[in-house]
Amino acid sequence: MRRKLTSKYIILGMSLLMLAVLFSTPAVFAQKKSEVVFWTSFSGQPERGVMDEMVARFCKLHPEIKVKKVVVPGTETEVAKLLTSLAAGVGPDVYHLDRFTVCQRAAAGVLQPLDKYIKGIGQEIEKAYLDFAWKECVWQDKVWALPWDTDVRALYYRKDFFREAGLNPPRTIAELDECAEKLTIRKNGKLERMGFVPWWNQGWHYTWGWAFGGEFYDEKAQKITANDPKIVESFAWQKSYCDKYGMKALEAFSAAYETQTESLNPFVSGKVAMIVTGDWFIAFMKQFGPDVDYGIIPIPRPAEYKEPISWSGGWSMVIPIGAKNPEGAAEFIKWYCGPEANEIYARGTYHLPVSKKAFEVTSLREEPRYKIFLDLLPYSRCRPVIPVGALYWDELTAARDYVIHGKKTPKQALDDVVARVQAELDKILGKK
Amino acid sequence: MSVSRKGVRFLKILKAQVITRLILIAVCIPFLLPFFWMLSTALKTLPQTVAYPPVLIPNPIVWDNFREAVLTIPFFTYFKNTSIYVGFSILGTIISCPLVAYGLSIVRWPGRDSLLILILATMMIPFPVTMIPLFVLFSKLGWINSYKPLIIPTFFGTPFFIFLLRQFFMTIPPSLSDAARIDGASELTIFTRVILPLCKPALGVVALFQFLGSWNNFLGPLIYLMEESKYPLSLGLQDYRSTHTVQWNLFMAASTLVVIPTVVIFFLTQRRIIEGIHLTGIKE
Amino acid sequence: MTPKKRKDIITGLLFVSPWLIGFALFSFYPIIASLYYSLTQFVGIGTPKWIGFTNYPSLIRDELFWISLYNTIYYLVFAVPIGFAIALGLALIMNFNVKEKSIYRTILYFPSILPVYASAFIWLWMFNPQLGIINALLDKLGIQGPGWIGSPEWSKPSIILMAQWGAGGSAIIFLAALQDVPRELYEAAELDGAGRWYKFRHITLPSISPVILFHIIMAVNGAFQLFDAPYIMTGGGPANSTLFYTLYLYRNAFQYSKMGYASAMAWILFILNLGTAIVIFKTSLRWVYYRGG
Repeated sequence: MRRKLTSKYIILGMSLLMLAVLFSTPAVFAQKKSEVVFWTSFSGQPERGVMDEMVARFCKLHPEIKVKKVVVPGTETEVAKLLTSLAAGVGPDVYHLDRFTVCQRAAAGVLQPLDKYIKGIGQEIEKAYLDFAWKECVWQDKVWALPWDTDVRALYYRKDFFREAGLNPPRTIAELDECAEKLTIRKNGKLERMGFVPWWNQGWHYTWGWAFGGEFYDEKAQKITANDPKIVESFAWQKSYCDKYGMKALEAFSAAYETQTESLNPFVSGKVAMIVTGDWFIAFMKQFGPDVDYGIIPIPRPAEYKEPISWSGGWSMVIPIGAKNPEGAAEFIKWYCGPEANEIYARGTYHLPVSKKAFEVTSLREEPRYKIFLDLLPYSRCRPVIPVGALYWDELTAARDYVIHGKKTPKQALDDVVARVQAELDKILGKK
Repeated sequence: MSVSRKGVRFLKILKAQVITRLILIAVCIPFLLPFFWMLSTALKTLPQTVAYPPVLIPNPIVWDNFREAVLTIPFFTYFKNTSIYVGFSILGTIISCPLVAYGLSIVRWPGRDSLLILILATMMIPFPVTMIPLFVLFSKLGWINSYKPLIIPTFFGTPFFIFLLRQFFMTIPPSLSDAARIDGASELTIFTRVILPLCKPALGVVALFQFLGSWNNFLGPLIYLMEESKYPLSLGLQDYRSTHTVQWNLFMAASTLVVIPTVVIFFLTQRRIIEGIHLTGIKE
Repeated sequence: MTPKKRKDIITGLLFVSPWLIGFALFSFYPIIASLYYSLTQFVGIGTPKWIGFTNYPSLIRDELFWISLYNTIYYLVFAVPIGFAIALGLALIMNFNVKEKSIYRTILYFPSILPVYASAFIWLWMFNPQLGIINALLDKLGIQGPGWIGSPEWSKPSIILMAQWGAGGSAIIFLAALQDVPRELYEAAELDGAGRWYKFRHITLPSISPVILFHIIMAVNGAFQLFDAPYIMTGGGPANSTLFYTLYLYRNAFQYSKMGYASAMAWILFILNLGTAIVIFKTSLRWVYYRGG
């Protein structure tokens, strides 16, 4: 008994001692003056290694600036970590931000405008970048980010299946529908292979809305135009696949293969003959489907449109508010988003460069499959630059789900989207 | 014994041993699937993790994945960080929660039940809206970039465990503590010598749950740590994710290594801790 | 007040003091802050703009508020009883006295310790409508498996089902409680000729009723605050069928920069959650049996 008591006192004593120690050494987190703290969520290879290389190269060129790269993993980085840190004034100098959200974060007061730190804004800097990328960095006449990389989308198709069926790759929606039908295989009433499922992978609402010639936002009037008749048509077209192939069967088929993000990719395994996805898929195919015979063509459009279309996302570099070393940060991102850095990154990771100079001479042009993506970039667009971008995206996704599962008609679903998003947009714009 | 009685006994044994085992095995099968899949993925080559039809038994079996998983990322740094964090948080919980629970159960005073409700109420505010003020608070204390925001609060009690222990304490017959009081024992003595020893199973459960909670905690370390060298395993495992792909085999190999200590600790302790002292003659 | 009562109150407060101090240090400010935010328009950082109670009627008019509330209550109504039954059932099984019970217990407990990302991936694979084990087994029984997580009708049941694999955790708590039931009670009942069901209903259940109360209150709280599973697995879809309340709250707080709005959501949830807990507590006086206290 006495032993037990002593041991309890020992534990108590130890913990009090430890508490005293913990409380008595306030390790105040402080940043060195010449340091530039850079946060990114890129935690895996090869991106991480290449970025280390790039940071090292910058430090060699600019020995007076010490860049400290910190990998902050997870998809919640941007919201959870960045916001909490900014609220307490311990945020980074440079942040790696999804370009699509730049406008939203700028409107929320999370970022600093770059105009005063980066020389050349208002003159040559914007001309240095592809148009759609630069658009996403500007909000209310101020520049909030520099574009860092980009991506673009096209239609991949299985040459072996097409040869088998004696088909040519589709250029128009009508041809697409026809190929899809001929390449679909049913067995015992179940779908064995689908020729095409419009909403898989990158076949998003934006993809088809634009392919069909619709516009999602009227910049001049600041109006959300999700119920543009062409967009309604694109939704109805997607729904037609459900009607043709059976909603339940397609639902099961979709749920079975579509959600296999990395494993069991349906294009590799031959579950689907065509898929809309991005340039990054080339690296994926090299690794997981090296023996698959496939081709890439622009996304099919209704016959009346002759020009190809695509859209792009990508990343950017920003300086959040409260940065301790904005000048150093500006020097860093100017180089990091410049042509030399773009090319190092492209060569190391096969991601597309976004600065015009790099775009023209990139070594990616020598890679056989990349040509089509590089050719598509001039025709690519970006998503509407509005402070409710995330909301708009979520609403469109829900609307598409409602339509596909037969819960709302396309017009009704999109009218609802307009109502909700417009209300939010007006609120934010109204107060500015 | 006559033949028929032997027969009856045999059937009874059969029922007890075989049928219970059948039930156990049947129920265990679906629960085994996750572990089996995890281990199988950990032993595959990367292309096989995405192969279709899904490969159940890897071929070849790549034991090397474990070595590679541990070498590709600073696995042991992460492991060390996690262990320190987990160790101290268990200590804090084991010290504070029984004390508070005691005050809500064995000591009889008015208002204690309302206090219990208040304690529970503090768990009911969803985390997104308290995250930022809490972070600002910790930064004013100078605790950012350390594990202090995660460890020190455990020394002040956690509602989940306080409530759990309180319920366990309430099952102890009051005659025990009353008798000790009559003998002149102080409350603290009653606490340490009478109540705690009786609640070993519950304490074991609390330690186990705190272990798990800290071991798998992602969001906490994410927002409070500012340097990679301080990351725990939960953050470190993200090193296997790239922008569009995940190295599933290494990821699962590392995850298996992460999960194994938990399983081992559970296996070793569950018998000792969960099986209560078969109370010798506690009379109602 | 009698001196004894005063002494008891002081003793009680002393024992509870760690929590009281912790509350004052760590909980009080964030909770009050969130209440304040609910009365403002706030992006999360910077200065909130006072708008009084405006957020609350806005919520009432918000269609997604009702959808997310419905989803959460749906989950609660099914997951809590099912979870309870399975956890208790598992505990009873874990209690079987066979030599290798440690192995069985470890197996049953294992899924509940997997980190969320790992278990999410595993469940998605198992519940895959065309490739997964679950539908394959159903097929053998001649039943056409549904679309599970990809179908708006089956997505919530899928999540409820997947949550049950974590029942091992709760089962351990029940197991500890089962171990505590004095054997003499069973022996005495057996002498009187009691059968298994009688023993279960009149000895086991009342004896572990305090822990049952714990489980139910925690399960309800967990159901109200369900976040990880939908966040990682479904993102709220398809067609908002898995947009649970806390997920929608999170989105408003961080994705849409509407921290004030989200705080209002938080306080509505708080009232519902606390109210339910208090009701459960009040009714518990009738069926929970405390031998002590």
